Amino acid sequence: MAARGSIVLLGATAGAALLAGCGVTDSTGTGTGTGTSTSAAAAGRVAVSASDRACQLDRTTLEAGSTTFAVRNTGSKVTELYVYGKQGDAFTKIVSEVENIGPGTSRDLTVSLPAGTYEVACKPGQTGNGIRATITVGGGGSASASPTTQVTPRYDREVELATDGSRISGGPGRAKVGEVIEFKLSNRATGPRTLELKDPAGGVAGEVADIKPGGTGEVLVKLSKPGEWQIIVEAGKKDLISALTVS
Amino acid sequence: MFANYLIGLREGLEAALVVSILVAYLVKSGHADRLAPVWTGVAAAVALSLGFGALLTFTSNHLSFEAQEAFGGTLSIVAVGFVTWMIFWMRRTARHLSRELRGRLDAALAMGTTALVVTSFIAVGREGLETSLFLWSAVQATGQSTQPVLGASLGLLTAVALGYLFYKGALRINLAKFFTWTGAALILVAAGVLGYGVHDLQEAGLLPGLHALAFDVSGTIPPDSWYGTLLRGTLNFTPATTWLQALAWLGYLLPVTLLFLRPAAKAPAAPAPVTATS
Repeated sequence: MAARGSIVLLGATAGAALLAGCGVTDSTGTGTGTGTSTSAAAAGRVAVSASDRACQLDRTTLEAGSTTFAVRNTGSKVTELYVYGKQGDAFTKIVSEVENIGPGTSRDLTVSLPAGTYEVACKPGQTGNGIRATITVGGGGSASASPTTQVTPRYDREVELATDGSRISGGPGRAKVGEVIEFKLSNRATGPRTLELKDPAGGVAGEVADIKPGGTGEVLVKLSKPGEWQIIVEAGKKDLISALTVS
Repeated sequence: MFANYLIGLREGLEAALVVSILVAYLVKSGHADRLAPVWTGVAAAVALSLGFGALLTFTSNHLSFEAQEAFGGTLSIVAVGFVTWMIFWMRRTARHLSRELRGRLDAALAMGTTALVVTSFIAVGREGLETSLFLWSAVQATGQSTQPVLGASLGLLTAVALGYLFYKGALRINLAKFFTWTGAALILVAAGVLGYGVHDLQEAGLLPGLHALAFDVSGTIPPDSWYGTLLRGTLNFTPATTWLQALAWLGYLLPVTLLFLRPAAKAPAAPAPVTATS
């Protein structure tokens, strides 16, 4: 019995070591939770809605660095998500993939993308070349930038927001489609607050979590679609919302 | 729900087949008392897969693509090694069995304890992590719908049930037939696993020729059809197969089948020309 137990232990340890050794990484990176860091925007999140006929990304321009594609299968077929890089003049090199996304389920694909152009493919039915979308990573499309290059966030304007816990002040009310805005929240409430931007479809376009009392948090958002956006300050149960009309 | 059911079935089928053959073999050769190592391996693989799957699903940890493919590809090739060992181990002990050299059989079984644990561990663990990631994503979706988790669980349960039926069927046929058929089945399974591992390494860019397809029958055998699922689940058949994958498959299948079918070598240490009584 003792021998058997130790074999299991051996197997478990070997498995753990193997996984740890080949790169289980924390995708939040550094910066989240500090409240004042702009790297929250760099650790990008792209919501992908994958149906049997379409593959919709909530944004196609990203900052270089770690990006999480949150894929939701809204169709009836099993799907997969591939990120392809350029090989010669065609997008055939697999940068990363996630398989077995069952209907009604969501899977995350986290990948570190150096600046450049990529194709994202949804593969409903797990076959063929998939439904492709082109994404651009990094500032100015400089494909030569190395993975370690820090891309300076570029924005059209800065919007300074503040909250005292009961309301949001400083909301601009209106903005133009295509504007890239840095939203900066000063937290004058007593507890930590999270700033979140939602697009008209309700998708999270940007977020900075746990801004400490007395601190500030910034998040860079491109207003890609016209419609009613929402600036949300979260704290526990009650969300504060400031409307933002993009036209 | 049906699509999720088919993934569950596909991911569980190969492991169920290999484990049921191992169990049937031990029971048939009168060593039901040696089943513990098999179940130990299975339990360890399930626990470890579910644990890591949960870690990757519910925390911000993730596995890089390279790690994921290296893990899948390497484990597949290791699995081929162990299944091949299992085929010839069963063949050898079978011969001892027919000669009624029980002492030798027991010695072989004793040597095999660790190997039994590892074989069943890898048979289940090979696809275990991917299956558990799929299962946890279905669990996560229960807020919106219980269909995915229901489908996935029923699929896995069906795989286990089919494994059980296979075991029941295997108990009925005689030993000689059992060895021939399970041996052949295992060789096909192992060849498929090898091809799959090669494809994984091609996807990771570690081996070339990902886009050089030997054939593509995705039109006639869609991967998400029930028959595509069964072929993939048992033989690891991929409708779009690369040349390298096909070559690896043949390069394993042909020599191993020849070795398996070669007449039993005469046992040098056989004490007397005891005629087999059967």
